[in-house]
Amino acid sequence: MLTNPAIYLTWMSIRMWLRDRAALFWTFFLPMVIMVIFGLLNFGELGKVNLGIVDLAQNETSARFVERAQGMESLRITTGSENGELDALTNGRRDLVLILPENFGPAAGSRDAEWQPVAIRVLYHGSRPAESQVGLSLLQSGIDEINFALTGTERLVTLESEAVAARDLGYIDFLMPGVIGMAIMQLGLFSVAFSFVTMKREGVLRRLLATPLNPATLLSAQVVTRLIAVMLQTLILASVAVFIFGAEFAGNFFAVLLAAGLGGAVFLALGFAVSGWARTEQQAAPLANIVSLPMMFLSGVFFSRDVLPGILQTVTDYLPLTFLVEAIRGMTVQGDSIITQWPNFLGMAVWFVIAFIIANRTFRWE
Amino acid sequence: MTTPNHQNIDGDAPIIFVEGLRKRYADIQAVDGVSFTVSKGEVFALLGPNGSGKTTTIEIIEGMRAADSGKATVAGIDVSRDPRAVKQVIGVQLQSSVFFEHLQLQEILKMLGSIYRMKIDPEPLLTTVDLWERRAASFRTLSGGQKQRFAIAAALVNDPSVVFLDEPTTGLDPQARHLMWETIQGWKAQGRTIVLTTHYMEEAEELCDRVAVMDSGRIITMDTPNSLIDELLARGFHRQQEVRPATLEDVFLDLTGRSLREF
Repeated sequence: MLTNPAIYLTWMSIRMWLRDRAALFWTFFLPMVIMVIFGLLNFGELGKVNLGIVDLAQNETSARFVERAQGMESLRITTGSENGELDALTNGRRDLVLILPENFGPAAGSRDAEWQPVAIRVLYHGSRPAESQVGLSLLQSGIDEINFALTGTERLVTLESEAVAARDLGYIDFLMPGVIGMAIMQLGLFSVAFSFVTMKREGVLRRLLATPLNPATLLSAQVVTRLIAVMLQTLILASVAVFIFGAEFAGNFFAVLLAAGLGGAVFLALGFAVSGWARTEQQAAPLANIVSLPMMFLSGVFFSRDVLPGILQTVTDYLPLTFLVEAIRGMTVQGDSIITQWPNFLGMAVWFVIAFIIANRTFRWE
Repeated sequence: MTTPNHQNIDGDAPIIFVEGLRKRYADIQAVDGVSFTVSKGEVFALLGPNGSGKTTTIEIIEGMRAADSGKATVAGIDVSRDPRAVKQVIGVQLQSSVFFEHLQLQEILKMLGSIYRMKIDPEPLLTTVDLWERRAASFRTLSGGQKQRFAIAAALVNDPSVVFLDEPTTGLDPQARHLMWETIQGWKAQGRTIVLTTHYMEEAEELCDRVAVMDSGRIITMDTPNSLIDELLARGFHRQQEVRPATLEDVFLDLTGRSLREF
């Protein structure tokens, strides 16, 4: 068995890879650091609106109002003095500050709900229109409700909102598939592009050309090694996300591995295309970066593509990393199967064919 | 142009047969109709200035390059028809041989062996070139001379009947060069055929049964070193300076000894 060139070369290339500290750094360490940093930042929390309440009334009604506001999921409430809260608003620590006037609530002395019309002052941060807008509309609906309750008007129209996702999803659930996809892309593109260009430039490939080695055997050893690396990488990154950050992993793990393997094949083929074209590492690096950097930011790795302008959304629909990340995300977040994720798998398969044809045309031994 | 010299040592059939090889690169006719034969067990050298076509000729015979026209066979196998079968029976040392990173010398040899579908023992191979002590080193950490010696060991993994050495002693110190000469003579004694290129004429004179001198892609003469020298003297050539019975190299070796310095 050990004299079978295909098996022996694969075994040796795994050994080489395990001894290559730079490769291990890029494959495992860096993606893990990215996941940990972004996981700790927890961008999901940033979606909350910071609301400061200044309660000048200090009565039962105002206390009830504050309590009610604290029950609103999208608001993070702080209370404080007028000066303190306005200061926090200017410093950007609050998105909105609400001032309940002294005459908030029933007029003193009256037994029943004898309200004077009252104006609640809201100050918001001009540079954060999105958060302020969300806060204002939330407040508006809250105040309407209070109005209804106080005036006794019957509510003819009510809005029943229901959360669509049954599970409580956080940013880490979004992030994990993104980082896994990004790591696979980097591994596929860079490991092949660099190691083959180095072997080509130094003449390692030429020396092998003087042996009866079948080129396909060498290529398959290199590809198998890196596909094993892709699987290991996926396993490790997913473990960190799930066991340390409590990320959701709804789908079948082997289905995710299959998506990872197919994505790995796509980016390996792209890597071979790059290494075929480039004569030196100095040419390979910028080319691999030109391919990978836009995808890193436009394929929904760190943030949703929903924030992209319309035309860019349409274009990025077809990026290979988009297919990979969305396939994995569909499985881990929604528990999709390979069958329900078929469009993304098809997208990757098409990219594989394209990349394979380019690689086949550009690849050279010397 | 001289006709190929078919004088065979011991009357053996030629193990290498080359006829009318031509190879053109863009605007340079690198090899321009080269023909020769090498008998089994012979040490044969291609001599010539840089760019004369030696390396291209050798690489065509090794099956690494396709010729534009002409024919080459090694051990009866047509190189253009079955290059991999030729590669299976030959050993090759390239002008600059580089091997995988992150592997030990002994692992590289075992891996090369697997390519020939052979399970090999790296010890005798590395011992011949005095590198057994460094078996666990990686190729990159070797000195220039050690790399050269390792490339020689790597050329022998498949126990080849024909060995091609492209400038095997370029860059070696005199001690290592003499070790290399002994190694080559040892291979000849084992019945291997050796084809080499060199820029050192004393090396060709010392080692080779026959030499071919190339220039501009053609063989301009081919014979035993002695016959070529006799022929030159017969034309009335005289060295301007009488050769002294010792050379500077003899002085160098006398002072520094004959044993290898780098292990």
